[in-house]
Amino acid sequence: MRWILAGLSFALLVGLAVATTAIRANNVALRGRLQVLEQRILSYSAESRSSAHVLAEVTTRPHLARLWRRFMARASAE
Amino acid sequence: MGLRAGFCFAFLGLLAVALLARLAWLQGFRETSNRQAVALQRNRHEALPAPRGTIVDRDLRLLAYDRPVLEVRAEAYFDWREGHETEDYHEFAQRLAADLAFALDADGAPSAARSQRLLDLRARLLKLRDDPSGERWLRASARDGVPARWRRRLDFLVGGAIESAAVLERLDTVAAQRSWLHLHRLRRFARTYPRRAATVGPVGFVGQVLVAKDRSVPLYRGMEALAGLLPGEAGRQLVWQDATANRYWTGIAETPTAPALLQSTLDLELQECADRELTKAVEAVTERYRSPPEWGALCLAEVATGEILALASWRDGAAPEQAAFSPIQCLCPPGSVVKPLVFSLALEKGVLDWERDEFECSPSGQGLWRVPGVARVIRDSHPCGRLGPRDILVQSSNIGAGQVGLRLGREGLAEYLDVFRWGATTGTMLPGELAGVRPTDLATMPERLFRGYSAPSLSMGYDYNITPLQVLRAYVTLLSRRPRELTLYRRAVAAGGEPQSLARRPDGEIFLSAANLERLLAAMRGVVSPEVGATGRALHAELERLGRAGAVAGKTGTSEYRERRGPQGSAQLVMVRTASFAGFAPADRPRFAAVCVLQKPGAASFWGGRYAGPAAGRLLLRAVTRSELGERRRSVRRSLAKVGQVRQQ
Repeated sequence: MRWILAGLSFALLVGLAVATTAIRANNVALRGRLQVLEQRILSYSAESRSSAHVLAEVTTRPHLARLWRRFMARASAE
Repeated sequence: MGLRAGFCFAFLGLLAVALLARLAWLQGFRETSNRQAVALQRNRHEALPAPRGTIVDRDLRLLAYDRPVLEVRAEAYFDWREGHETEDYHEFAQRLAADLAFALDADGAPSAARSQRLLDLRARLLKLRDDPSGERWLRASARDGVPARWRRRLDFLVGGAIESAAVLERLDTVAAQRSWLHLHRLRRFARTYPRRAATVGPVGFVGQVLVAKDRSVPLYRGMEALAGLLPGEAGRQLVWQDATANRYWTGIAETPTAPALLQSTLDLELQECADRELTKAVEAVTERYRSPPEWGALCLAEVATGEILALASWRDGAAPEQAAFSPIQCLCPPGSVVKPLVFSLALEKGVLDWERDEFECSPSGQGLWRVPGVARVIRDSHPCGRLGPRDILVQSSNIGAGQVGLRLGREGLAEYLDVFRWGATTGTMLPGELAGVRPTDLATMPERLFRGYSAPSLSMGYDYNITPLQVLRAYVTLLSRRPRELTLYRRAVAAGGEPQSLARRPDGEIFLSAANLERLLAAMRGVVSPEVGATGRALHAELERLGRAGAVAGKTGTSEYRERRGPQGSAQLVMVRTASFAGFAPADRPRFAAVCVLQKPGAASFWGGRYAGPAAGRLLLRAVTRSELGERRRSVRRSLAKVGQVRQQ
């Protein structure tokens, strides 16, 4: 009986060790995915702010008027 | 039982031996590489910088703000054979720089910028080779003729402000292919100025100025110099890094303080309009004289509040960031634009009778007047004849204005200088604003000097040098009938969200009656009319062309002075002329005041009415139209809200 209990305890310990390692490995993998996700969010948020700025700059009235004048000048030259 | 116990002890003994062997392996044979791994595996706090304050216009449109970008730093490990460090490193640096530069090229930068980037990266890497502070350690000792191998840690900047996702993805690919290369992204900010060309003057910028070979200090110009815009407390983020230098997000962070907010009184649309109109005025001068003016300024303010709506500046031959900001940093004698201001004091003091007084403005018949008792001669550009106060303003007679100035006397002129605050900086709080100069000894100067020089000169806009913005303040004061300070700020919120009070100089006492103001307004409406001799006829013609004749009124001004210019030794006297116009709109009920000043050396017939007037006039029309549209929009909104309430009931 004692040996059975000892064996079961040992099996439990081994099981716990394996489970802990598995969970930790899973955690590391999840953290890695979070890391990639965070990096992507950072990249796209920087890019979206930059695009918003560029878009606002190229759609201002003076800029569009300049483009229109250039277009008209080219059209009349042709 | 004994056998079983023996097995147990043997097992434990073997376990202990195995552990000792493992310990010896880790602490002995793998000591160097393990120390390196331990150095990498740590929790560290990464700073999250706080953004600098945001500047917005009166309608909350962005003028300056911090845009998030990413700084990418590389942590690389370089292995070399003993005795071959230089050649190995050279090859390593060349390859790494080329790979990283190729990744950075995904942002589509022009080829010149790409080449420069590659050169910079290579230079940065080559500089690291001689850096004695870099960590280095032995990887493998020399044995059997094989040289020892060394490893070194390198930390360098890949890109300072990267904001392209494509570039970051390519950089990740480069790093993923090399186990010895790790790229770290750090949050940074790039100061951004939307519609920069028109707002660079008042908004200013944050830059660097080199004070020594390798040392620079921050340089602030315009509104950017206000201390309230400094970033608040930085935040920090806990980052866990494993033995392979991968960083992991922990989610534990202290957020940085929210940026401060500064709401200026500028109207972005009117600011752009002012910039455009000033450029047009400069082009008109260039077309006529084959060269541009030296500087120009165009300013607009709301009369009821003293709020500045637009401040445009133009400087010949200098980039806007390096040039003086002419509305507050260029001085000139104001010229005839001050005549209505002098007359306002004369009327109020009872030394001028608007209906009955008449002045002989052409006593010699040639537009010359010798000041009684002194040798000074005052000239008009054209003979004016006998004029009443209104016509003196309409025809801008210096002789008439000089006589009014003499009537005002020392006390009257000293009060005039005080009421209109000549020679004092305005309420913009911008750095580098010049106060200008004005006579301070009116009370004590000899009578001959006062009568012969200061009194007539002050009345026709000479004897003091002031900024264009001071002229605008004087007109806001005249039109509101009380000393009123200009302001450039509406609201401020400190970093972190605390509202900040913006001290503003309170209005002074009323100094001008409504009836006298009306007289002056009528005269200034006459200036911008087709009347014979009116100095604002060019502006009237422009308003007529635009179908808005009579919408704008004001006073023209042209002043001139001699200045010695040129290299020392061969400097020559040059006549510097200033053309100005100070106006308001609507002409019958002023709500906006504008001032345009252009200065040009050696230009004959450089009249304020012809060159400065049209720019200020068109800007005023735009301000009125914009305000009317805003009112109409608000009234429609109110009506819609009422309709909504009725329906709900």
